[in-house]
Amino acid sequence: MAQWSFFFASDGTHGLMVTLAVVLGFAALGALITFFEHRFGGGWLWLAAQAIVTAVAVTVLMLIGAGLAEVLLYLLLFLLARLCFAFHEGREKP
Amino acid sequence: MIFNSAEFLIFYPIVLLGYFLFPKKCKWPWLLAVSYFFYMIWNPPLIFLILFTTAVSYVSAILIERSTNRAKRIFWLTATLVTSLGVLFFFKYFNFLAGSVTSVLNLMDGGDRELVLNLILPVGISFYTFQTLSYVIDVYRGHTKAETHFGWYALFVSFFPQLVAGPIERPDNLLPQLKADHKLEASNAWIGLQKMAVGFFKKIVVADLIAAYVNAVYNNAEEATGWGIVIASVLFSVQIYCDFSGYTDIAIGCARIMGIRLMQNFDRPYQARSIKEFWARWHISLSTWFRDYLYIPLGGNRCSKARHYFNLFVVFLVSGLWHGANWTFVLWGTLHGVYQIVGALTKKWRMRLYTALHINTESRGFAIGQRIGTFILVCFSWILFRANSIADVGILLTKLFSPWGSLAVTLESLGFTLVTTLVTVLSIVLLSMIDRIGADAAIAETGTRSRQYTAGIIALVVCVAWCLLLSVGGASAFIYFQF
Repeated sequence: MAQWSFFFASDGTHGLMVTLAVVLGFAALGALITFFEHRFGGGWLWLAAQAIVTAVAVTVLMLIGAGLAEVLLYLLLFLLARLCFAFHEGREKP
Repeated sequence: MIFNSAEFLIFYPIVLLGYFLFPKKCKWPWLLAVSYFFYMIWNPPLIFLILFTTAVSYVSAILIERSTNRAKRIFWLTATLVTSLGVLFFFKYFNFLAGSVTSVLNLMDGGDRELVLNLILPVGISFYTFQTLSYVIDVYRGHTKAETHFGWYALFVSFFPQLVAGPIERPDNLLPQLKADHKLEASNAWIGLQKMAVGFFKKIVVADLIAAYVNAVYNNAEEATGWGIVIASVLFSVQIYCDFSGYTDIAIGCARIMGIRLMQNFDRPYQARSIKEFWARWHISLSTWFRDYLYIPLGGNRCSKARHYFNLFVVFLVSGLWHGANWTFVLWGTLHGVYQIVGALTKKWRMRLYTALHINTESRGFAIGQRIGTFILVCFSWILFRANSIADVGILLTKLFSPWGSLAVTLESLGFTLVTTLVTVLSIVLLSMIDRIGADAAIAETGTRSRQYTAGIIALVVCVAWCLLLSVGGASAFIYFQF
């Protein structure tokens, strides 16, 4: 892990920014899949894709030395995307 | 035992297993046994206090119902009120009252008196005392029948999900449900699990993560800055809501899986447009208790204006005292009473002002303004509620009305980083969204696969936050346990 620490250390500004970029990237991917799920109707395929993205995101974050706070941030962002669609879904089907 | 402990994760599935496997006649002994066990994990001897309160109210209700003479009915009701409230007073308020009286006497003659009994405050005593009182008063009024089966009644008083922090249930709602033979139903299990996930989210992800910042300010009032007090007070308003409504959600969810529906205790209180509306949305089971058993018997609003304001003041003063034996709670209750009275006194004047200024009171902007105004008033009152002592209230208010210092320095001293700030803000945004979605019963009861998956994500978030909390010191108890 030593060779990664310069780029991905979560205690320095540069490392924090890279970690945040990873968090935002995976959250955006999760949101995109959630959008597809919402657009094309719920199906196990989309849910499985999201589960895989979540698992990969958490693994990558742990591997690059991010802390639990960063993992929590990713999950909260992912949850935000899902709740936005759930909110929209609720408005469509009162 | 607290809901956010590892013990509960073992305890609750065992309870469910027994509840659904045992035949109907064995369900109440099982639930009663596990409810007492749930309480005894904390302090075994104090179960006798619950048993005493239960026995007194059980016998009194039967005697009240059997008495044909009004004087006898009043006698038994008074005897129950004196006994139950006496027990509550002794354990919760004796040291407070004795301390206050001796302090005043010492101030007057320079003496050094001290009268403090080594008492343990029984967890949930205010909740189960009020629940038994509502039962006895309802029997006296003829609103409900006295329960003749001691086991069912004891279970009504000690039903473990709501034993230590409510909701304060009414006999008409809970007793018949406890007697029914509930089977495991997928819809109940799903809704219950969803409620529990949301409750744990509120407690572990929001309340416990925020608590560190709030404690940093309120436990060091001398070193707090104006900005620190403002930030901590706003965060405390979120913390106490999430802590208490989170507990209620978990309790409602636990009971719902067993097929029992507990009453709603919160209805998005910070959406209130006035203090009066705030109390219709906050701790509903207590507010309605005070309305039915104190405010209306005092005369409610069907009397002179002066008497109406007096009634309001008394109710909020008692409500403050109910929350705790400390002058800070008395001040907090008094302030809410004053808010209500001033609100009622200035209503006509305000309406005239809006008309004169051509302000559309039906507009969205006006509603938002009212919500913000109400939130500020409530936040201010939370300063009195959260402060550790009256002396701290003085220090905090002095600093609040002095220059606030640097925001950046305050944030840094409180330990905010980019990630923790984002996590805090996001969790509060998500909380409001979850509350908004959950408020629509039609949506909340829909168990679509997508929604189930979202609840799964919430559960995952809770697990990560729990690990995060364990890494810095472990789960904390619910604030309302102390009441």
